[in-house]
Amino acid sequence: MKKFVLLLILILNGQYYDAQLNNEFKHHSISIDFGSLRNRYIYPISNIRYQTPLVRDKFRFSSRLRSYGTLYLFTKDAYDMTSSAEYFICNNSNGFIFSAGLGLDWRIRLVNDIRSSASTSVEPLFLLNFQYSNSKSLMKIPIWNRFYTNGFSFTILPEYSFQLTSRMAIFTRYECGYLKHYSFSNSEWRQDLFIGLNVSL
Amino acid sequence: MKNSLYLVNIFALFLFSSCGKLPSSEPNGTLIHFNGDFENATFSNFHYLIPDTSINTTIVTNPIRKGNYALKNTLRPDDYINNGYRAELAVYNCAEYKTDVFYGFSFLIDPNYTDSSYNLICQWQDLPNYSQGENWQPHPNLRGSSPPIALVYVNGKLEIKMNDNPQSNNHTFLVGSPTSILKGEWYDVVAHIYWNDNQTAFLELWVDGELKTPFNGIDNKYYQRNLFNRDGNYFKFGQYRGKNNPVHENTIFFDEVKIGSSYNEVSP
Repeated sequence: MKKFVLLLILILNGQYYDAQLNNEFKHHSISIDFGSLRNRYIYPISNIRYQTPLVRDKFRFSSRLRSYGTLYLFTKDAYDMTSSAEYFICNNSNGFIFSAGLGLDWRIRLVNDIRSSASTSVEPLFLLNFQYSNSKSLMKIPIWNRFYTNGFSFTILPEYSFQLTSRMAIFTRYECGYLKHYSFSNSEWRQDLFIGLNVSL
Repeated sequence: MKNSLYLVNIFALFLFSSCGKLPSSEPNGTLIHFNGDFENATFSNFHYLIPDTSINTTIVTNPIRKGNYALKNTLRPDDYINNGYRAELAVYNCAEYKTDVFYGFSFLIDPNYTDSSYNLICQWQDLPNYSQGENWQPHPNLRGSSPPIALVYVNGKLEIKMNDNPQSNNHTFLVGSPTSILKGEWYDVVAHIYWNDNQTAFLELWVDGELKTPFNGIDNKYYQRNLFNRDGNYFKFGQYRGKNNPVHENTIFFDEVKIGSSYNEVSP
């Protein structure tokens, strides 16, 4: 009986593990998430993200649209659009995967207020990603590096997702950003927190 | 070799394609020097937050604190605009991150002023973090907060009220002791504020030349964070009652509204 249960767990684990890898690399996927707990207050932000399956076994493309001030994806005031291409160095045998990529981060600011100095712009993005999958869960630790005319930023976006079915997972993501001016000694930390759902198509 | 050159060029182009500024305010911004003494009998320097410009804000020749003109500010029971009962004039971009600013103004409570509930006669209101995507009316609106610093007239007293909780509009706290205010008399207020999002921020406030912020052992600077984010605050004066509608029509007179870099520059 014990052997049977053990075998069953191994098979299920294997199925989940396969499901994680399949979802990650063999299917298009869409995820929707919302939050967020900013530094000192709750502020609604929603994201929708699309990822391609692996292309030529090494590349993946993704795009994320972030809407500020709403939990419903549509706003008249501010969006971020982040598109990226990643190169994968896969090691499926032990669950650890590493990737690196380039992208563009569009800040779209539509708010019309004389008190606002925010403006629409696009910045280059460099990203590194470490991820680990086990039987039911997937842990990603992407690091994004953006460059601006007067500074740079690093953002770490650890994300933990739990497989609900072979095609569906829930996840939570914490974003911690460090923003630094070239000309001034001061820097700023930003924090956001999101929960969401990922569906493999 | 050719391919490598292409790749290097594309990479270089990509790296230098950044065209926007870091979404975090630079410290030590330009300090504005503002004079709102109403002597040109217009409100051209101010931004309106009032329902009816012909009734809520009028220029008068009596009473005046200095010069020939002053502002008569009237709030009626139905004056509701921008989610609150208010009749305010505002000055923008005058409370920037890591700046040291002096603000001065004079006020007179009309002898016929009758309401006894709170009334914010001036406030330094926080702003959304525009550069990081925020706006005034998020949906759903998960936060609504009292201003970080306000001067409140309530039942014959003037109170310095501060708020350190951007999630709350009922956790303000009193700084120092309230000042007794007589109706029909002019009072001169000067506030010296260093704006920051940490505990190096301070407020120092005088009424008629007398310090009203408590002595801290060295001076009367009251150290308390006064920015909720680095996009700064802005200055408003007039009458603000929040959701608490006035029972009667109330009038307050203002004069010599100034912003600058020293006490002498802004003091009437």
